[in-house]
Order: sequence, then structure tokens, then C-alpha cells
Amino acid sequence: MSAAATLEALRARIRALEGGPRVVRRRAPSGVDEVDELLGGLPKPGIVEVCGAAGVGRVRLVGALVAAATQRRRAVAWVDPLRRLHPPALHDLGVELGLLLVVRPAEDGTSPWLWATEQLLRSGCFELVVVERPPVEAKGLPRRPVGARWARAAEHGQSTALVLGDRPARQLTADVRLSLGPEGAMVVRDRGGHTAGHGGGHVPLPPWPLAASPW
Amino acid sequence: MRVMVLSLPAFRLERCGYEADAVAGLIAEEKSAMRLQAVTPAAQALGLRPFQTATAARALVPEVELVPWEEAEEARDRQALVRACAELSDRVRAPWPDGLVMDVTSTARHFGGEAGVLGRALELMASLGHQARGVVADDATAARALSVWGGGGVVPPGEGAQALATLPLHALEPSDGVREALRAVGVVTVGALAALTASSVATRFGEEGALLHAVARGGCAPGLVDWAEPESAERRVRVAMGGATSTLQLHFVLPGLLSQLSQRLGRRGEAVVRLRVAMHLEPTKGVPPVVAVSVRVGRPTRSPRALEPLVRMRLEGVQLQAPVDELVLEAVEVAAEQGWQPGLTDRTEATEPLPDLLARLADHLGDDALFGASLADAWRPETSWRPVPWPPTRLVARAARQRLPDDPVELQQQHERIDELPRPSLLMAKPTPLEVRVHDGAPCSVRTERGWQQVQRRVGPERLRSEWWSDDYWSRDYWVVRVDGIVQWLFVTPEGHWFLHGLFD
Repeated sequence: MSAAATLEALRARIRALEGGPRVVRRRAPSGVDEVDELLGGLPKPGIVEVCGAAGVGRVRLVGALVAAATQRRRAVAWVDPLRRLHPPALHDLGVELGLLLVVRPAEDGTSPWLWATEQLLRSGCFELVVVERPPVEAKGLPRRPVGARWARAAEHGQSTALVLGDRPARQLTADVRLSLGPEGAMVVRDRGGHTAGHGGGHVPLPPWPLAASPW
Repeated sequence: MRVMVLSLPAFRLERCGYEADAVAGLIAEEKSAMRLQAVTPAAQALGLRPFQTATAARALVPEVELVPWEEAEEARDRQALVRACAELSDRVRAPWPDGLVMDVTSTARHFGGEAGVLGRALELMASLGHQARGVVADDATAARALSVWGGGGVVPPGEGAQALATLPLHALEPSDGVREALRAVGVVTVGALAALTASSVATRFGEEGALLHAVARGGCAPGLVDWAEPESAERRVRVAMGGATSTLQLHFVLPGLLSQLSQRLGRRGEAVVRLRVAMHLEPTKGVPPVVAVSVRVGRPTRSPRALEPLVRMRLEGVQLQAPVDELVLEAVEVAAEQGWQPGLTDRTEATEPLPDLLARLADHLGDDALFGASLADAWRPETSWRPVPWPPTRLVARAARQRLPDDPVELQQQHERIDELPRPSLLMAKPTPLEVRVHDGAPCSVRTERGWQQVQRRVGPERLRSEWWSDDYWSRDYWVVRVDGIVQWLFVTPEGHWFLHGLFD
């Protein structure tokens, strides 16, 4: 264990002994009716994992949340380790690009995007931090869990992480996990229990804005 | 004091791409004629000398290549050499156009002694493509004379006079007047000068003669090299670490060191923008002598309390391969302290100011890793946006809808922009080949991991072409298709090859 990790573990132990301040978890209106109806708002602080195959509508859902945040003049960070985000599409989804920071760390074998995400969440400078993580089978996902670190960072910065992935990653303990498919979105995990009686059914994704609709 | 002088006889031509054995010279206008400023050793061997006119040089050696002297570029390259030698000594100067001098009194031991530091210096010069000779001696003038006229090497302390004795007098580079005056009395070697008495030389040949006489006798001639610390040294503080083996030990000295730096900067009214933290390691085989990290500061400050966490955080990732001998902090970029005001878009929940966070991320991830996006007026999907610095200097409010322009060309362009089809949210860096079955020119099924899948919905084609003048000209017909619930952006080339280029995620 490195010296920094030892220090962090000791600090955590001290916090546990002293009884740190209780974290107030709440759901904040997201500005997207479908999400507010489904989840009662976005967990703040919290981690939301959006699972589904690429192309099924994950960016449409998250893009709507980001657009709503930027329309409230809130800065948003988008961590893009796969280097395939195409910002013109976000612009069509209503995102104000001037308020969007894109973070594309070069892969050096240490998965720097994990660290970058933690720092962005911890800083509290961004209301939303979006990450499109590598697929579960791909290299680049850490072996050890990062969810607890991210959760602590989000608590520190009162931010919300939106993590896009193909399938649920066991390394990541999300407060809310949504599964997206051709039928729409379904809540498969809700730590706060706010899910508003959808009975495990699917709800449709937000409609495409006219400028972004491919049809 | 022990100094090392490196003589680089062909530096001025080598930086122009000529080897020492090429016949070449630098020319510049001087006294109404183009005259040689420097020549390679090979050209010198053929009789070419500085200050000859270019015409005379060409008459003497017709094959000589003459290139114009670029004074500013040469000075910049010389400074680059000085910086490269920072690993050998913290005091490096370039008092001659073709030579460097450095104080190796306290740094030679890091290289296993004076011979070691000299060997490393020659190796460094060779790796940079420069032929060099070097001498370590008690005095810079003596070392310079020996490096140019002697064979190079280490002159033991106190043996300078003996080493210089046989050299011609002009090896000490006296002024024309002193040289002629000495020659007139029969003094043509350094040994002959040393044999004179100090008082008679001082009386007859003045201050310069006295200094040269001191050097000839193995003494020092202070003042020939300006060792005064440059302005940058005011922004540097150091502390001996005595072999610290962990970066945690460095944390203990940081507050004091930063406070010292802060005081120095305070005197000049400056604040840190970028800090260099250099850890000088104990000499260990196969380990670089210095490990340095750069710490960027988001808001210029000289407050030790603000700087300390940034430095500590940056040191966290440093792996020490040898004990630390000395820790040096240097403010390599400074600015006037101007305070900082949060922006309108900054969150009240922020636990760290945005500029500090961005500086830290850029330090770790590189400058190119953080950017904003700006739309570009280009058809090519890959160039339809460009990275821009973030945050933008001015956040422009969404423009109100404007009335249609009167100019028909502008109107047409606006319609083209309006009619542009949407683009996918995920764009592959490299299009992936696909197998597609086609009916009447339109895709009807696509082969996926689950076998052939029917296209459930499609829109297209949209023909895109790259710029006709570009080298990699292409023409593609793009289709938006939904296959198995996934909305894909495909294109087909004129040869009938299909590719997946993006996803409407």
C-alpha cells in the first residue's frame, strides 16, 4: 500500500471513529420530465449508471440532462476516454457548448480517466460529470472498486456522476442504475428508493429534439 | 572554485546543419562587405579565417559553402545548450560564441568526480550533435585556453600554470594592444608571461595585463566570467535533504521553502503561475540525477498555504529511484498578483476554485486533454468541430433569431446550414468495415455479432465529399439505419464498401 493510500485509510478510520457529518442525499429536479418522473430527480450527490448498448439512446438521455443543466448556466464536464464524443450532436441536443468541458486523457496504462473523474467530482465545480467508460470486457476498467471513492468525491463536491456503460460494472457501486433498451429506460437499482412506482416497467426516452432527430 | 569549460569549435556551423569536417562558413555584412564570421575546423585548415570577405573566401576555396548568420537564432540555440547543461551544474554561462563555462565545484561529486562530469558533458554534447573539447581547471580563462589550444582533460588544482606554460600567448585571448605590447618585449608564450614579476606587468600593461599574468601563474581572474545570478535565481529556493527516501519527507520542508520563495517574490510584487519542483538525487547508476515535476497554479498566487497542497498533490505520483540530496523550487512562470473573482457560472458548492482544478488536471493529463468544443463550418464530419480553450474568455448568450439576410448567397448558405442533417453523438475515430446487403441501392440488412439483422428503419443517402483539393479526396453516401434497436450512421464508398462511422446514441 502506498503512503498516500495509507494516509487516506487512516483518515477514513478517524472519520469513522469521530462520526463524520451525515451526508444528506436528495433528489434534485433534473429539468428533464422523463427522468424526474422515473427517479424523482437526480441524486445529489450520487452516481447514476446508464447501461445499454452504444446506439440505444444513452447519449440522448444524458444529453437532455446536460442540456437542461447548461440552460441553467451550470458547467458540465464530459470525460471521454473512448475519444468518440461528437460535440455537434450535443449542440443539436440543446447543450450550450461553451459550458461543456471535454476531458480526453491519453491512455497510458493507468486509466487516468478514473482519477480525472474523481477530481472533477470532488472539486464541486461541475453539477454533472458525465463519463463514457470502456466496456466491461475491455482493458481500462480497474480491478478494484472505484465506486466508493467516486461516491466520497461526489459527496465532497455535491455533484452527480452520470456513467455510461454497456453492462453494469461490479467495480462501480451506483446509487441509481438505469438499463436502456429499444423499449426505453428501466430502473434496475435505486438506492434511495425514490422510484415512483413504475413496477419495473420501461418508460420511453426523452424524444429527439427536432434538430437532433435522425428520422 | 573549479570550473569546466566546453569548447565547441564548430557549434555555429553545426547548428546550421554542417558537420565539423564540412567546408563551410557563416557570413554577415561588416564594414561594407560580406565577411566571414565563423568557419568550420575543416575550412580553417584550408586557410579560411573570420573577417575575410566572402569574395576572398570563394577565391581561396571555391567549394566553400557560405550561409548567412542568423544572430537571434544562434543566441536562442546557445541558450538551449545552456539549459541542457543544467543537469551538470546550476551555474552555466555562455561568455563566448563557441564555448560554455560552468561551475562544477559542488556538482562534480554527483558524477563520480571531475573526470566523470567532464565525460558526461562531452557525451551530452555528442548526443546533441556537437563536437566538443572540455577542460576542468581552477579558472575559466585558463580552462578556455586549454580547451581551445590544449588537449582537454582535468587540470589538478594548483597545476594550471604548468599546463598553460607552453601555450602561445594569444591562447589567453588578450586585447590587440596588450598582445602587441607583450610581443614587442619578446613575450610570446604564457610561460614567458608567468616568468615576469606581477608589479612590472601591472605597471606596464595595466589591469588587463595583471589579470592575464595572474592566470598565467595558475591564479584566478575574477570578472572575466560574469557569475552574477540572473534574475531567475531570485525565483529559486533550495534546501539540502540529506538523502530523503520518500516524498513524504519532502512535505516537512515544503512550508518553509515556499514561505522563503513567497518572500522573494513578494519583494518583486510577483505571484507564481508555474512552479518547478526539482529533486536532485544521490548519484546512482542508471538513475537520472534530477527528477522534476511542474506544478501549474490556476490563479497566480504566492501564498504558501495555497501552493503547498498543489505541490504535495503533485508529489504523490512521484516514484523516487534514489535518495533525494537536494530539493529546489523555482517559479518558472510568474505574473503580477491580481486577485481572483469567481465567475457567474461558478458553483457555490465548489470546494476548489475552477482555475486551480483545471491547472491541476492539465498538469496530470497534459494540455491537450482538456478543451471546450466549438462548431466549425465544415462538411467533413471529423472537422465539423474543433477543440478550443476552456473556459472560453467570454460566454456568449444564445443569439436571438435574426431576420433573414438580403444577400442571396448568404441566404442560401443559411438554408444549407438549416437543412444540414443531424450528426451522430458518437463518432468513430476510424470507420469500421461492415457487411451490408443492399436492395435498390439502399441497405436492407446488416451483419452484426448476432448474424444478419434486418434494417428496421433508414434515411438517406446524404452524399458528403471531402475538399476537392485535399490529398485524401473521398466521396461517401451516408445512411442512418436502425438495426436491432441501435441507430447507426453508415456510409458506402463509390466502390461499394460499407463502413460504420458513428452511432446516434
